[in-house]
Amino acid sequence: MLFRISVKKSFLKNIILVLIPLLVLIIVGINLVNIGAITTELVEVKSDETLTTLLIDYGNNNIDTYQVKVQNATVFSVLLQASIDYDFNIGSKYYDQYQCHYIYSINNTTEGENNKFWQYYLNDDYGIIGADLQPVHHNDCIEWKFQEPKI
Amino acid sequence: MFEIIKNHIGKICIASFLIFIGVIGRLVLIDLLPSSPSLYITLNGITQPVLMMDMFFLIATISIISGMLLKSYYIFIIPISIMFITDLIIGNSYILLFTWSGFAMIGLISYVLKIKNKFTMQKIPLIFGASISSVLLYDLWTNFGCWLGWYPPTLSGLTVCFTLAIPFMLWHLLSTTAAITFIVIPLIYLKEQRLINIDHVVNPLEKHISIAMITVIMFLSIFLFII
Repeated sequence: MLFRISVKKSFLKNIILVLIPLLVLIIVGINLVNIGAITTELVEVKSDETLTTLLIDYGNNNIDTYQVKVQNATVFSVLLQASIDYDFNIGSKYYDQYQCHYIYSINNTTEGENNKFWQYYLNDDYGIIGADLQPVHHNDCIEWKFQEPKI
Repeated sequence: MFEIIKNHIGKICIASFLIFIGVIGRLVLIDLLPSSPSLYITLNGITQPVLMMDMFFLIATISIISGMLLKSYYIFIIPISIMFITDLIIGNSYILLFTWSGFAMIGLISYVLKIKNKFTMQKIPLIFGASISSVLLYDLWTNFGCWLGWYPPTLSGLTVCFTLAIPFMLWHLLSTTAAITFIVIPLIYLKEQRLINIDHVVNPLEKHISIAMITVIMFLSIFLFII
């Protein structure tokens, strides 16, 4: 009888020790949703058409410059719109687990040559998040550089 | 030599199996991961998906199992063998020093639980707590390495580095907790039913050598930056 009570107490203690952290996590999660830190939509620029300057630097002082108009602009959507407006191709792969496109080729310049890859800068700041996740504002300047990896 | 192999044949087979599963899993199963859910988190002005998925949980679980079932050398050999073979194929950078030693650290924590005889059904909260702590330690250690190599050496750089790491950290915690629930806990149950045997005999020399090797790699990781 005493053994059964002891096993039950031990079992209950284990359940409580697992449930408490779970409850804390749920409460933190709910609070993050309430303050808007966790949302179901990407933060997008809700505005009229955004005019953006797009520079594509192939290296060796070979730079193309474009003016691109697009709504709800992200770095990727600006590049995509430019490829349509100015008729050049882009190679990309979409990663579901990161919800981002990875750009491996712009205008037939493909990564891997001399350990160079396509990386973007927004207003001279190195892009640290995926191109699809980085919103762009009116008059921003995006630069895609073909260079050795910074990251 | 033959005697040594004969005495350790069971452990060598388990180690080989774990390495095989780890290599195949890391190379093949990545394409089977589900899509990241449409939930986004905004911290420090950066918006990212809440979860970013990778195969960390597979190597972490194998590290925990190697610490639980095998002798101390294997906590070092198994995860590093998996990472070495797969990194030869996938490719890697200097960060491998941090990731390899991070997985060995997870194996070490599991090994400590084993030698203290904590792998029992009564100690499940302790097992979850130790596993979650080892995952957090791994993430802290590897992201520290990322900051050293890839971000400005300022507090702002450190903050950005760890902010970007949060979706990965959340996935690591979630996936490893699930893997422990469905793989490690059943193994503990089998051990309590005496269907598998966990050897609690500890050779002090083996233990100290394993801890020393992990510590050396960790110091080497930082030392390479200083020089």
